[in-house]
Amino acid sequence: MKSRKDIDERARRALQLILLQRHRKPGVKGWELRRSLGKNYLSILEYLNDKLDSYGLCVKMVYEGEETNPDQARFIVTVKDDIKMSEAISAGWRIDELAILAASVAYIASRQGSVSSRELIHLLEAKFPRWFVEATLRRLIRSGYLEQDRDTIMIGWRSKAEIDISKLLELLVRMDFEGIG
Amino acid sequence: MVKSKPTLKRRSVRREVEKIIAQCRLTIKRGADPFQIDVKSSLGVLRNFLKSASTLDDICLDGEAIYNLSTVVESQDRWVKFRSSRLFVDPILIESRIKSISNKVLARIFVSCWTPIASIETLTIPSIDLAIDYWNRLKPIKSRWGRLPKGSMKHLTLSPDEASRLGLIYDRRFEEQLSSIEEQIRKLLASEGGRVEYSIIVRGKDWIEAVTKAYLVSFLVSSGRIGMTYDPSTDKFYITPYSNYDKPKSIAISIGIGG
Repeated sequence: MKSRKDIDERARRALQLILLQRHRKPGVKGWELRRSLGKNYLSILEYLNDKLDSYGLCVKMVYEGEETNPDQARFIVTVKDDIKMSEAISAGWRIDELAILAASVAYIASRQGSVSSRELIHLLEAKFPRWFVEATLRRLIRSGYLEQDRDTIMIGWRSKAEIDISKLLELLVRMDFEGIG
Repeated sequence: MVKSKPTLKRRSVRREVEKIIAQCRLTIKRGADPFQIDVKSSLGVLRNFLKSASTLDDICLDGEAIYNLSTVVESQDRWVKFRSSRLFVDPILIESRIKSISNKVLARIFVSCWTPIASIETLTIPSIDLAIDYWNRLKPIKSRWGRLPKGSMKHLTLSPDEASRLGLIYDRRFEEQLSSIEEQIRKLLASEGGRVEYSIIVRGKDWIEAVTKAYLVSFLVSSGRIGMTYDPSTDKFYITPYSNYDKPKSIAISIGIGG
């Protein structure tokens, strides 16, 4: 049986592994955690999740493809509750970019998860210049919010991890914007 | 086995099958309503087509159509599940909402559904150690750039005769060679009834001549001076007169030592 001190030490190591960005993609793969923490890494992560809860953070497991094995999943730490608009802007996002991301994710989700890039650009062009739409979409694809397969655009792994898509669609349909942000 | 010529009726059924494949692909690609495709009547068309199918190409086309129809049925299943799920919202409604509300409101809605990833981009002590070690070992730029021996940038000149001997330039003008091979091909096409096997045309006394001829033929085909077709029944390429109906595509053909 592991001592409390040992579990704390492993949880600390897990948090460092997840938070420290070593590649372009944030987070860490399950197999990397297994290698560092041992085969019971999922229970260590549950313990860490409980600890992070009091700081408004949570551990999430995201599958990037069709796999269902936790070793292949990506583990990330996200903010637990919604953030404020001012916080998003101070994190380096422009309102226009957030609007493009919101419109893209909502539109793609309403179309069963994939649309042709031509259709998406055509929709966004109604509000933004084409060069800005294309540049922002490229950035969103690079950072994992959207995925591109030839001329089809899909919702990326990062959007699945960070965005409550059903809530986004519900808010857009209800047009109930009171008390948001 | 006597190969029958495709009748007008069979050709029209074949076109219909190709149309079914294209429709299925387009529907899946665009994420459109898969129930727009009438799977039952499409299967009827395929049944008729299969009865008259006589070549391997026909059977492959039938298999491709069946595969595409099965993906449509799979998509119909997903479509029903999606429509009955909590995520289903009419795309037209979402589109109109996106267009009607301001960017600021859209961003505010988004932020209220967004829980961004927390990550730290920082230097660690081991990486700083590694950087210091690299810096200390790095030689001054002058000593690193001075490794090439002086005078290595000496210019070399070649006379046209030498270049020709080395095979870097042709001793005959390229257009003359093209015209010559084009004339040969046209004569062969006239005598062989409008179709000559590719390997006969590019055959040469050695490999270099075969490659040269293949290069010239590829130039003639690309520029539309002659045409080229592939016959799956003989698994061979044929040179034909150019036709406007040819669909442009890129193909790779290997040339053996014997041409």
